Amino acid sequence: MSNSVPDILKQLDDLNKQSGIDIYVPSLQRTVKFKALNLLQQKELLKSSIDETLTKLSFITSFYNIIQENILETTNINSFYTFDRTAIALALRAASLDTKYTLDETVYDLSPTISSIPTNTVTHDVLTNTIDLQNLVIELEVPKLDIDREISNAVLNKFRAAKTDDIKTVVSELFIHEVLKYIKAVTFKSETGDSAIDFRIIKLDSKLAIAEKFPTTITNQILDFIKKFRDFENQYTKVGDINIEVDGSFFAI
Amino acid sequence: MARFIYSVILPVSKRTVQLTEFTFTKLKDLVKNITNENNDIILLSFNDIIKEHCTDNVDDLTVIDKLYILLTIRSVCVSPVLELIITCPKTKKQFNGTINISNILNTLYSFQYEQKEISYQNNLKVTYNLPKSLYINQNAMDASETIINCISLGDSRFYDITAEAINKLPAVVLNDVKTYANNTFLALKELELINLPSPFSRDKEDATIITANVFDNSVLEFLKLCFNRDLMSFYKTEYFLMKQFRMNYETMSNLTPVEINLYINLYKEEQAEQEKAEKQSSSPQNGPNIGQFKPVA
Repeated sequence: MSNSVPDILKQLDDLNKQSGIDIYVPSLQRTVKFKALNLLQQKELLKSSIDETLTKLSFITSFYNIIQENILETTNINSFYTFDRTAIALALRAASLDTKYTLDETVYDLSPTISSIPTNTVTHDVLTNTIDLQNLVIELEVPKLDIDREISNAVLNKFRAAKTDDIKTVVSELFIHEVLKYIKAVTFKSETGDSAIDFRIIKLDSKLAIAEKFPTTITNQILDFIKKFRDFENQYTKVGDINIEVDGSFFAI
Repeated sequence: MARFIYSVILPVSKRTVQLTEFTFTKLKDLVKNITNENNDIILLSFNDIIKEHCTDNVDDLTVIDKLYILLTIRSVCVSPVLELIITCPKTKKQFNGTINISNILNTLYSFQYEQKEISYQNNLKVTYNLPKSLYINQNAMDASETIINCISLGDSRFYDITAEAINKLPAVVLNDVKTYANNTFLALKELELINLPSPFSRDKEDATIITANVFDNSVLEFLKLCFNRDLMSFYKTEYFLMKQFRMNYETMSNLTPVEINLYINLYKEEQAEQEKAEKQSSSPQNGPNIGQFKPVA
């Protein structure tokens, strides 16, 4: 048998495919086979946790690539919701590294949380909502992986280019961009006819320009929707008596 | 006729390797590269010396074994002593330091560092060992390909380890890579090749220390110190040998630096004796009694 470089690469690829993991994807309501994390991917995840301010944004980008690279089925990952990412991250972490997770010197077992994921019911009202106020109709939807990545990437690039350390600026930018992720469409009603804008296809700057003009009442209703979704998502991150933060640092063992 | 070959037992692999002579011309080429100050080419030159002068395969040797080969070559073919002019960091005064290369070889020989084989799922085994390179321009934590010596998958063993192959290893390996890399970094950082205290300061901090840390340029700088000299001295020596001894360039090129020094020292001794004899002959009190010790016809 040849022991050349191409041979080892092929054997390692085969090994990664053979050791596929069945992971329950909540939005599909079934398991999907994934390759386990490899060393490069873990390095990338750990790197994404270095910049504490932007750690979640970097993680979103890194983990999108991992899902795309490791999924062993021909499924469009852009149909996955962000809570699917949480479920996949927990399972990949447990299967590839360790089921034990240590936080502040306390060791938590991830297995019960992972086992309980299929029992969490995903209801329609958690995923979508419509705000109808005066002449505005705003359709809301929990972000899918592509939207989440696109907006997170844009914010990351913005911060990196500006090199801002001003925490107030960072928080306010993060806030408005987080709101944008949940807006699916905006319809302006008028006597001459309705004008609908699909937020999934317009440029980020245009989304920002529109969202910044929303009255506070609408922004608050969007925040209520986000909060409701966060409460739902917390089921996926509840480990023992705490909720864990699923970002790059979660993959440090 | 067979070349002169000498053998050496390497400290880490415990292999006995055979070495050929390192010539005056090869040293001149190396010094040219050192003078040119391009570390990539200097590193290449040292690796070429190992490959060219070692009759065995040296691809899988660790940095300690490679350093041992180079220092043995230095000791046998150039000079067994390393003479340095050192500046005291505190007083800025200069002093001479003399180090026997054999002492450094002994230090390297007694260096204990175990390779480690760890088994993972699916019949995967990874063997960790000291890095192979004399200089790694990377943080120890990022240099996983330098400490992974072998990957075994079932019955297949792979020694030609690339970064691409390592990146495909399961993520769980990273923790072991980090641990081993950190231990290696600490062990090499504490392995002192030179420790010369300053005669002008009692403070231990003022000692000149060079370690075997390959994760900075310590080893490379140390090797430069060992082999570097004034480039002009090579041309002067060549000119001298050709003029005084009528030695042709080919003969001269095949001699080792230590042999050339031997010829020059013999010449110097002869000159000194001649001068002494001339002085004695010109002195009325001590002049030889001409005629007293005439050769017998």
